[in-house]
Amino acid sequence: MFKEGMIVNFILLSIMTVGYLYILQKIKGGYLPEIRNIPAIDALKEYTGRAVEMGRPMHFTSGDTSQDISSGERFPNVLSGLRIAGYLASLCGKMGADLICSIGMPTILPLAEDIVKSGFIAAGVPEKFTSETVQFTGGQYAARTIGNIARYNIACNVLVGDIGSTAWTICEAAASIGATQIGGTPNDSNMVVLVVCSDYTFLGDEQYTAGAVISKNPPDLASIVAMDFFKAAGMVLLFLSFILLNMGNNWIINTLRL
Amino acid sequence: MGDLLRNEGPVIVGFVCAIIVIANYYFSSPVLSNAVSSLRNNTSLLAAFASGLGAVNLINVNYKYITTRRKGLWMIAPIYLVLFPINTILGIYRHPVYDFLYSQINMSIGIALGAFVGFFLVQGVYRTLRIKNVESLLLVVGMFLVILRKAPIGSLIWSGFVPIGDWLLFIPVVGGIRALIIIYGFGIVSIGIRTILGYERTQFGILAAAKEE
Repeated sequence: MFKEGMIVNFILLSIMTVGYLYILQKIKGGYLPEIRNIPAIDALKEYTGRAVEMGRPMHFTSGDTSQDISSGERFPNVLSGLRIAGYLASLCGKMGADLICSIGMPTILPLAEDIVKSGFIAAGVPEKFTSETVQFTGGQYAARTIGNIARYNIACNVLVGDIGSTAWTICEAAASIGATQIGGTPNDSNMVVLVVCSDYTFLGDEQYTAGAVISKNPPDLASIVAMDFFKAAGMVLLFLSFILLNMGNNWIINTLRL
Repeated sequence: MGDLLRNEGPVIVGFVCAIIVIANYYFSSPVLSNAVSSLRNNTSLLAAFASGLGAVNLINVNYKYITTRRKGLWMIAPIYLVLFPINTILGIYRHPVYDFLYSQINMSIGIALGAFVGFFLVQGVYRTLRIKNVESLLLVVGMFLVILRKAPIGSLIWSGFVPIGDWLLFIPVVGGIRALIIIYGFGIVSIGIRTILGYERTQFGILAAAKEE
């Protein structure tokens, strides 16, 4: 019935789901976990204020077209990026800054439009959302994006999502006009570029938890607490495996492969 | 009923689809694999329709550049608006002019931008080399050690650069990247659980931004 090597995997996912639901119930019952601030989120506010003072727009992009989102594993990265775009839109709406979004994937274009629009609506300025706010870049993602950066003379460039090999090009184009930058991508080879080029970076799982830190909704908070708990369990498992393997015992590894 | 369908309908459809895909990942069943294959085909179909939305967006944006006489753009926008239908029609009939436009203009722009990366990289490295704190000092020292490992002059200066560079690249760097990959894995599982249970609605364009901030 089970595919080979999938039994323990399935059990672990079930435990995580039950653990998440348990923590969610606790939070709904009044338990309030303490969540640390993410510096990049504070920087979003600061840089939006700076953009207003300079009279220049903010710019957001969530990644390129090199691989379509329907292929799967890139979806959570883009999704978490869009959530930050929604927050950025509400910040821009409240503080009076303009926002330009360069979207490279046609599949997420309608989502991006809806999310950014709802951000402006939440801020009470739906008129701030125009047909120019969210722009599809077409196949030449990098060309169009650096074109937008230069043409609109942006004050801050926010690259959060699934940022690919175009990270250098976009970051340096923005740096050359004196724009501040906030980056974030789980793409391990390009994350390094963003760390080097950006003033603030969503590091590690911060990109996934950013939405939860902003909203502080019980389901989001529960996922942060559950994730921290599973990370701790994972570290214990790694440490135990390390000790047992050095003692010549493969029990944990063999069990996980069941 | 209408509101219920509008708000909860996508969540229910998403839940059912996710359960089918997850079940196919764990269990071997021809029924499940056929269902997943059918879902994936539908996804490709939807993605194709989305490309059309992208085209509409580009037309809207360029039209606005013209109507608002946007400085530096209103003269370029008509080129797009004229070339777009021509290119579409030529593309449908696979006319040689379409191939020319694609390979000689579109591809050339892509290659030119690719070539820029080298210059941008040097510019980025220059900015990184400015030592502002202890972390950037460590970064610069590490970078020089790795450069000297790779550059022929490194081993001429001191043979120890190669093993030190190797150690840096294959022990701490790989360890750090693997730690991040594991953490990303937990993050993806967390978003996945939230999505399947219907608590995450960003994928439907429902931000619930009113609740945020």
